[in-house]
Amino acid sequence: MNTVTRAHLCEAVYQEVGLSRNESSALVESILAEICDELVAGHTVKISSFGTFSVREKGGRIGRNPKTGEEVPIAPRRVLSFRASHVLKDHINHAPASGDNDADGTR
Amino acid sequence: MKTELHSDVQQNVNSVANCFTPCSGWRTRGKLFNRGIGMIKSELITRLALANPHLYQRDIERIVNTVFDEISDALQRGDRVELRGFGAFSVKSRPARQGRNPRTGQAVSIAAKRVPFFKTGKELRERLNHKPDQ
Repeated sequence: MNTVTRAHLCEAVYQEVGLSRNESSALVESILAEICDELVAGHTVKISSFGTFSVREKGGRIGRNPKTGEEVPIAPRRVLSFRASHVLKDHINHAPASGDNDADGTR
Repeated sequence: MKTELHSDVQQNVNSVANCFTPCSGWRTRGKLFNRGIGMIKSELITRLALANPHLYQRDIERIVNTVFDEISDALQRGDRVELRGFGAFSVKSRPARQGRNPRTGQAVSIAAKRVPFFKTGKELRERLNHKPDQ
């Protein structure tokens, strides 16, 4: 299993649009930054045909250390949840269309 | 701490009351998932276009689409996508199981499938729990 990182995304952007590598990576970075800022403000981010990122408020509760059985208070907190769109789910369950042998070459 | 909790709850109540927009959200296990305010892809593109006046909006659109397509394609291959400071996308396999049509009670077999999964990155998780610095 390979891991795709920022560098791969930047490379893909670089290949797609005629921008410099630096500018491509700055744009990838600003896409993520915009999404993060919106989420930190407590807002939802919907990317059509990809999915929805939303922030949920979790109430405080008493947790337990599974190893020692000790009770630990868990403070109220905000968590991020991602819900994939149907398009993405279908895409993932669809067999890769002959594209599995260029896994390393073209990214 | 207490007052913080209170104002949060208050804010939640207000936004739930105000969120009857077409894309206001969904419920899972009785919990309201989102607060009706937020950003969609076209708004993300507009914001990036404003921040990068030297680029055409249609190029920004291509870039944004490329990024998300690249993530989807990686997940389709079964790869993991790790974006430090943001989070990691991965694919989990769900075995085939016997389901039930909730309306008729009829048993239905559900095929094995792969589902996308997102784990929030450490930095973003920490930022979410600090005072929103808007």
